[in-house]
Amino acid sequence: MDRLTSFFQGELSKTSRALIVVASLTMLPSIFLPTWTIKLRAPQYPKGLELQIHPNTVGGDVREVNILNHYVGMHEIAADDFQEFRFIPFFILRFLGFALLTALIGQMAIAAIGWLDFVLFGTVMLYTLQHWLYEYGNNLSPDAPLSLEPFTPSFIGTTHVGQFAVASWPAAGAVLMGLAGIIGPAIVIYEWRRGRKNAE
Amino acid sequence: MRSNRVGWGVVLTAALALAGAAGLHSCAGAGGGPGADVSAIASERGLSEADIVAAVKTYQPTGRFDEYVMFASGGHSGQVLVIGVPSMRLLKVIAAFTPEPWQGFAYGSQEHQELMESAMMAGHEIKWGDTHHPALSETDGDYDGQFLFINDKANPRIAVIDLRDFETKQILTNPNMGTNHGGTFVTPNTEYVIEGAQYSVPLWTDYADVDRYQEDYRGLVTLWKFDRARGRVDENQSFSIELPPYWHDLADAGKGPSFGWVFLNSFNTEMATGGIEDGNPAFESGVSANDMDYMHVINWQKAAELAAAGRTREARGNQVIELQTAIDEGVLFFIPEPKSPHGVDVTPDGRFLVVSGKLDPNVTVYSWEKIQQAIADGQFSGEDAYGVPIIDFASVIDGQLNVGLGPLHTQYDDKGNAYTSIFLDTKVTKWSLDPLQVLDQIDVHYNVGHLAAAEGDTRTPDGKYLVAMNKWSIDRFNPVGPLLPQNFQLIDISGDKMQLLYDMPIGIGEPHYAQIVKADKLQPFEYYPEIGYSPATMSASADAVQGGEERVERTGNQVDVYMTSIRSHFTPEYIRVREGDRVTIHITSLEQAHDATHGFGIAKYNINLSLEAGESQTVSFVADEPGVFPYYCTEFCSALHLEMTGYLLVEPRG
Repeated sequence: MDRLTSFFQGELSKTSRALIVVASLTMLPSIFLPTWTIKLRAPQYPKGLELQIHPNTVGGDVREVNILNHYVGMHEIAADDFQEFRFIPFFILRFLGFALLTALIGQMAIAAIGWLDFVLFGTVMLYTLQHWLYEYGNNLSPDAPLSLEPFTPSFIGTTHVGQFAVASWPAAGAVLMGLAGIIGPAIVIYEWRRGRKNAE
Repeated sequence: MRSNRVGWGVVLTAALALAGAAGLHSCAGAGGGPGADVSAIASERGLSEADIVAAVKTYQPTGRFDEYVMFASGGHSGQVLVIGVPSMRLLKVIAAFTPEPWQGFAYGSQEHQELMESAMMAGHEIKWGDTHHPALSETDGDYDGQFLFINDKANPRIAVIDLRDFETKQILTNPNMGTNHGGTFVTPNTEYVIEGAQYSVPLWTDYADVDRYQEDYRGLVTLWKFDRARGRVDENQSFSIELPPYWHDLADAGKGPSFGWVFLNSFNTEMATGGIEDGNPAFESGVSANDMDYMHVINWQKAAELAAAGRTREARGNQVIELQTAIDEGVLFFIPEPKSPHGVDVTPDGRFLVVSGKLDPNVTVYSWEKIQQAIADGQFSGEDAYGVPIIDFASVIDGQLNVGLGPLHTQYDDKGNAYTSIFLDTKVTKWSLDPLQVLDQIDVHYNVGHLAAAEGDTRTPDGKYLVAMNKWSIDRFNPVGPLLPQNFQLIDISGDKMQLLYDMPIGIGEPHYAQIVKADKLQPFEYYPEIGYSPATMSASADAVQGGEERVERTGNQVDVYMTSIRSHFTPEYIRVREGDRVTIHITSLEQAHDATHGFGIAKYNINLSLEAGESQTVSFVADEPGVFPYYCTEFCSALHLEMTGYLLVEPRG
């Protein structure tokens, strides 16, 4: 028990602090990069259609996807409808700032709190994405020209809707955030081993 | 890609030869499908090895683009044909002078109505054209893929087509010509678009009988100043040059060392006036009496200076450099050319001019260096009846070569060779400029007119494909009654021997010339760059309607409808007006997807628009017929295309 307490109260090595700085810098570009992409493929779209979900907006072929969606009575995708877009960039900045602060203070406990906070945020965001996919696929207007069985695309993987194959995958922003997230456990392992070595 | 296909040709031919030698015909049936025995299919269809090579050289699998795009005159249709080479697939018909329902051209659109009104001649709204010679815009003597010009011989007009959207933007009328022919040709940087008249008519007076032919009738060449930034000809900076009352034929612009000069064929230097009914020689013999006519050598740079200095006289609103001014200022010279010439074609290096007299079996090669020298030295053998100095024929020719009976038009390759169409022998003759000798001949079917080679009239011809535009097809295609299609024949000119590859029937009348441009030079829009774009101005339209802004405004009996179209509905779906109202519909396509076109046709009102993605147009009409008139999308835009409709309700006046 002493070991665990001292581990969390312990000061981080320079290597770990450097890793935390690296993690925060890795996170930085994700503010501007697409986080998630949804690709739609159908015979009459040889280049495919793509929705790019950014931290603060939806880009790509939104107009065309909305035109198609209206046939099945799907609610129009409009960036303004997503409250999340208002605060996600600031959350990323907050994690970034917290990580830099942690690197400065250098205490394991603070690092751990920051990391858990970050992972929790990521999980909630994935849940939110799935929630929206459910909302869009299940709340179809009964007045739509084409009636379709409600459907829920998976946030990872390919779903078939009508003549479309809808593939949803993490994009560059999510990959960078994932990489930044992995650094957390890496530091834990590194510091735990370092602590054991020092104890010996 | 191309070498790959040639490679396959060799492989297939080799495979066939092998199969033939081994007597292998059995393994797979001739039924087709992947893996079918090629030689069995060929033998069942009666195809020779050469046929198979030709097929392999021209076949384009689905989705593969052609290497070249040919812009061909649409003849009497008044339109332009866009054809892929080597597949010879028809890609598009561009409406140039004639209403064209598919493009929604001049079927109610106000923009097109204005264009058609600007193209009226002699008080007539003209609904056809006799398009002859398309000319792609050039930069430094090479096609730049930006604009296309084409003449209407019948009603001396020129259309300006923007190759960003392949639509006609401007139609120029020439009030001082009876007909045109020597157009369109462009100077090497498209400074000017050249239009030469054909049959002379009175110039300075509105009317004169033919017995005043020599006094009052005049030939004319017009240089239209092209404003590339605006994509329009600037009529105020354009001018014409008065010419003797000969008849004028084709023209070409000098390039390289001959830059700054225009060359123009003439015939009827006899100034025959016909009148077979009065016992006079018919035109056909009267205009062919002399052995020589005059090639006109025109210094357009000097002429432009004269025009800029106001050394012109106004004729029907256009500025004309008078013949005497042109003579005095060294703008115009003549050189004899074998009779009834039908083409003057400047060589790629700009050093020689090739003239074919269709009633003389020779091509005549003129040296620009010698012509320039003769002009500089003032070495003239005389002057014509109007005082135009004539350069001595023998002193400026580089040579003459017998290429066959009835030579017409010449194109070039990248190896110093020329290709001349031979009308009477119905052949194409390949010959070298240095030394002057015939290299090869090929039969074409039949009565060939113009030729078009891949970039074959530019400074850098590609030497790949040649299309012979044949007037008659006789027995080449399935019989379709007494009026037959003309025949565009594709010829491979990449080897020593020409090979005929493909026959393309042209199901509309009398195309003349074509130009073939490397496909990658064309960079057209996939859709209009913003929603509410006007093709007429190539900018955002003041009347554009954005989604959610649809409305109907009424002022007295003027009803303005602000409408949008998007898959699969118009907004609004009702237009309620009263009989006699002036209805103006501003309609914007809210689409931004490639190929998502909507039509807008109103039943019984002769209205049809084509609204490409992002396009904005206006249609205006008087609702003079009461009743209920469906309007609908005339393009199969989507699964709910039939449902994309609405009602024009014209309430009878009480």
